[in-house]
Amino acid sequence: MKQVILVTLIALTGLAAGCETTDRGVRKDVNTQLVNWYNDAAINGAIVAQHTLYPYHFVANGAALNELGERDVDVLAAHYKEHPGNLSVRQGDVAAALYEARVNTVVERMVQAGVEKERISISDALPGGDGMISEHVLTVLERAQKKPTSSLGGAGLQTRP
Amino acid sequence: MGASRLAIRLLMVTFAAGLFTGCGNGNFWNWLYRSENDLDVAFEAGNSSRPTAETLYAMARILAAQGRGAECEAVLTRTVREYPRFMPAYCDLAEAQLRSHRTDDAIRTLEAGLRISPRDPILLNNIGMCWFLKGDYDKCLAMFTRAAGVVPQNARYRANMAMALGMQGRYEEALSLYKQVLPEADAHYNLGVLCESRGDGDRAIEEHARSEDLRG
Repeated sequence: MKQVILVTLIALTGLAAGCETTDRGVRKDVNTQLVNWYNDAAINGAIVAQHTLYPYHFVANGAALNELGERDVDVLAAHYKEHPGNLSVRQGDVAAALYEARVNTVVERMVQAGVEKERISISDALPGGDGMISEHVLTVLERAQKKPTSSLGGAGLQTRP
Repeated sequence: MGASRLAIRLLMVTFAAGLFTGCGNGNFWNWLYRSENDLDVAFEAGNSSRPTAETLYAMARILAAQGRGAECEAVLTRTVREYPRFMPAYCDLAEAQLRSHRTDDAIRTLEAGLRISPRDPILLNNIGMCWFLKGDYDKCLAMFTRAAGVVPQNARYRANMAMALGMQGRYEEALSLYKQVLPEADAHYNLGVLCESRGDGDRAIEEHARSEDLRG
């Protein structure tokens, strides 16, 4: 009887060990996906808490969002659809005209994502949660609505080595 | 009774052997019943065929571990030439070139890989690192941003972007990215280190103090 139990145990161990090579790749993929998922949730949370877009989100010297910018704006849009509020777009050292074009780009993408334009307020302010410190609030949304979108040279260009 | 014990022992040996050889896809049974002739045929086939990308790559890694850099580089160059779609070889070849302080060669190698796989985030990130070593923070940022665009949930690419921005003196942007991927105290500490390397002592002191405050 003992020998039968022993054989059964060895058989089960052999099955487990034999299948390990096949499963290892799958397990690695699952672990990678899990880590990405946790990272994704943490990064998305930080993006919403900061609710700020920076020059690095845009194509260099252009008004278009780069791939990372599009993705981060989509994260914000998903939040603003349910919880509208203030959004900061930092001007950095770009000219006012280019800054305005960038704001228009963000507004257009938000609207496309289903955010009601009237329920978000865009300014150039430092990031933060409640009690956001305002440097020089611009509230450019109204201006953007009145003026046509300016098309700027250089939009879409990116520095490449 | 004796026959059943023998059968049980035979089973035990068989499964123990299975432990070592793996029985996932029936490999063990194929291995068990291979004839002498099958083995000779398999050996000859392996002997006359050219090495696979994986074999060359494994050989290169062994050479690198043995400190035989020139030979490692030659094998990786061959891997890239014969298997241009095998991406890990580009990264390792660039790494070997960087070890011998040939940053421009490393950039060319990685760019060749990028022509095959334009959205490979590892290649993009590594080219960014090369530009960082050359001190061209604009190009470096562009590459890290592209890598982060391809894999937005990758904390390393965002942290590398923060590093490039910090080295350009764009502290606010650097800090915002660090805060997305690190605890706030670490974010300020990292920014302090970047300020130090830029020679911005006052800001470095400020950032380190802020980091200490946050740690309590």
